[in-house]
Amino acid sequence: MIKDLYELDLGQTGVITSIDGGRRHHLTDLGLRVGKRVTVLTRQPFRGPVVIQVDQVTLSLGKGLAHKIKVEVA
Amino acid sequence: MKVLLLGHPNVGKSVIFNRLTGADVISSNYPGTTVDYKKGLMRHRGKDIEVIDVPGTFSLEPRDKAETVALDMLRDHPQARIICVIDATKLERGLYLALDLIEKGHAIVVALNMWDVARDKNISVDTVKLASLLGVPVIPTVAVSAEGLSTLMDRLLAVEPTGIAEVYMRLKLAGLMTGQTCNGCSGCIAGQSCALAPSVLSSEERWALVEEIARRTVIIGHYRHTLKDAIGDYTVKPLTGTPFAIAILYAFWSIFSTFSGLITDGFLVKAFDRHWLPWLQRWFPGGPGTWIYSVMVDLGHTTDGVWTASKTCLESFGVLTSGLYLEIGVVLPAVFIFYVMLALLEDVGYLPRLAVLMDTFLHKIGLHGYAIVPTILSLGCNVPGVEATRILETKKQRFVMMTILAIFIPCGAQIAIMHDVIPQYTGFVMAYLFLGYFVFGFFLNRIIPGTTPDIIMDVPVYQRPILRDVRRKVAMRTKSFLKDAIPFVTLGILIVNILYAQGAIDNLARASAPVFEGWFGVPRQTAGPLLAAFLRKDLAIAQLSAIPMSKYQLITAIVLVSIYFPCIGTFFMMLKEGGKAFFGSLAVLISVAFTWVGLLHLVWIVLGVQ
Amino acid sequence: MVRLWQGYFALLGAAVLFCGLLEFLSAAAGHQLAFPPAVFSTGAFRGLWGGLVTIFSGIFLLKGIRDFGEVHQLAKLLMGCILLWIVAATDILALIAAAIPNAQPELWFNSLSAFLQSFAPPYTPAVILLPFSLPVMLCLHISGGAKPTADGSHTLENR
Repeated sequence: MIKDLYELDLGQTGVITSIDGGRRHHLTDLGLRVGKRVTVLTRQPFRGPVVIQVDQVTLSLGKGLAHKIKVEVA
Repeated sequence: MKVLLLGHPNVGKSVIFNRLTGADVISSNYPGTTVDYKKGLMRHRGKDIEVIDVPGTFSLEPRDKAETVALDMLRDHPQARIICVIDATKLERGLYLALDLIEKGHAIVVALNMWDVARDKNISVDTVKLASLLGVPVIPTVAVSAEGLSTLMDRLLAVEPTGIAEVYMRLKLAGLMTGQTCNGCSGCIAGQSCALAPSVLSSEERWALVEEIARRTVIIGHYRHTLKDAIGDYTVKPLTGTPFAIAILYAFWSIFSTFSGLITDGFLVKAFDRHWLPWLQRWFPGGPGTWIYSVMVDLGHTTDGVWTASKTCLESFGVLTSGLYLEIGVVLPAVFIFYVMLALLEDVGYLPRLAVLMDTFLHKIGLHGYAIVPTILSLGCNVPGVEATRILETKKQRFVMMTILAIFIPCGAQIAIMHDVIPQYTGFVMAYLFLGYFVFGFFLNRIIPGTTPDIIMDVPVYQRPILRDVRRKVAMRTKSFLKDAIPFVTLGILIVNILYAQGAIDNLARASAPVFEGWFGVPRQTAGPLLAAFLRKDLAIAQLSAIPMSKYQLITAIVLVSIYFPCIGTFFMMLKEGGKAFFGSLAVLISVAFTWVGLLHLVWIVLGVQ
Repeated sequence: MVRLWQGYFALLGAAVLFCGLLEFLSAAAGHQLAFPPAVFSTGAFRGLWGGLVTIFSGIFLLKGIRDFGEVHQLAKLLMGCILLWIVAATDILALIAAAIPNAQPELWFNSLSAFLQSFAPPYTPAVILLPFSLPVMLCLHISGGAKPTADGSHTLENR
């Protein structure tokens, strides 16, 4: 099932299938590429950023950005 | 010989720079930009080497200011050797940049830094294989303890440029590049390069190459969740992270108060009031009553025609007395301790977590989580605070931040004097100001066109801060504060004092008194100090407290004073950082003054106290 | 053994939480409390904000007791202690800083005896509870030698 990264629950893991938007390069630079496994570490309330883990690295992404990343959930 | 240090931000480039260079480090803006870079000297095996710390970049595509500057630097120093610093725990990311550099034909050496952190995370890299695939030396380093740096420099002295085609060839020879066309043509140059291999890669091709290389050289062991990791997670999760952040901010404020209480109240007040002031009062040419004496040293008090000297630097209003006292006695210790604490939080790795926690709220007013840093700095002195707004990405963000900082965040001098003169109201005034910060931040964000980009940043692993690097950072920032803020603030004081002495302020005060009385509800004598407050906020507070008025009027007056642009130093910094946008800020200031403070007056009327 | 540790931190956590509440409430009410050798501050800043941090500290400690020795629980314990250390350390720092300069206008430094005298009780509760939180270091030391379990987490072996 394909979901938004932002829609994942705490602790869920997904594999990136696509990244939209103009900031794609920025995301790629930080290690988010198609095929990578990401896990949601924390979610901030009030539509705040989401903190994820990819390749043993911890990143924090704003809501808008997280919506642009589509992942495949098992 | 010149050496350029390139790499992502936060890979330890600066630490390597600090370890390699001595004390003579120059930090400056790259000409025509607001991006900083550092230059220093070192000696290795008898050779003099100039080391340049290039601003952190993710790639060599000119996408933002830092990257453009990095590209320019590479272009300006084509013969320079390059140390490409890669975080060993994030090899793939760093390899992208390294391949780009190799492709462009630079002579590079790879420093695989944070080797110790990788070990702790159970990540190991086969550096020998990596070196043989890339065709460049790969040295594991632990910059914080200077391990590997000597070897790094040795290999750097001997390195030669290579090229992407060679990398391709080596991968092919190692049987790794499946699906690449090789039909055994005679394009091979004996294990050196392949005629069919591209010499310039597209972004996707480069990433594909990165993944191939990483797959063969990085071994990720079982991910052990250590105590440090657990704390790292808890301090960024909202439920556990928020109380922790509250505690950290408590510590911040407490240490700041204690330190400035000790240095300022404990020693400097004595030094200034009991030694500096009397000395100047005695020896400064001109003597009491003369124009130059009044402006530079002591205005004094005249009651019934009798002039008496001031007893404290604060009330003397002289450029050399009040001015120096405030800048060096009050603000400097405040700014210093803020720099120390910020550097410690930064180096230990906590600041990004704080930014994540705060981002939720700051995003609502159009700012980035990291905007917390200029905000905190401004509590020491607005001048470096406004300067720090350059870490924000867009013009809109910088404008909003700069404006609400200048208007709503009181600087150390103001806070100190508020505490001195009206300690019982300080809390209320600050609370009203912080409220204004968010309310107006929200409005400005709505009104001004442009979007705020979402936050995207690394949350690093916690590490022990290295005192040596903290010291260096603090020293550099304090020095630049002394250079930038103090001359301008002194200038402002001089101008105001002259205006006072000429009577210009009094005339203006008489003319505008009706506004102050009617709209703001404060007695007409406040007009003078309030106008002068434009250039000398902190003194205005002291002057105001001497005028008889109700406590509600006093609060209104002080809020009004605080809302004005801080001091002329901030004035100039805003012009410098904001350019034309400064006038927009001015417009906002005027509207804020009338609405927010007028509102306060209204509140008092409604409550029936005025 | 584990039971002992759990009981100890339960007690400590409860004590810290209780003191924090007292501090916060007394500051809110403006009423100074003192049970020698402790004194509860009433200043708005130290009492309200500091009291709040102390309350958080107690909560963290209490939440860290279950499943003792597991790395996430230990993290909570440690964080609880860190919060307590923050309050206590800032209190001690303030104490030291206030004792250094001399109150008299002609002199710079306090005499040695006056300096030492300022360290006499009463103290804030955080300072008094500080030494009792130090055993957490022992816990960390023991857990540092534990074997990782199958799922990759650390647990304290029953010693």
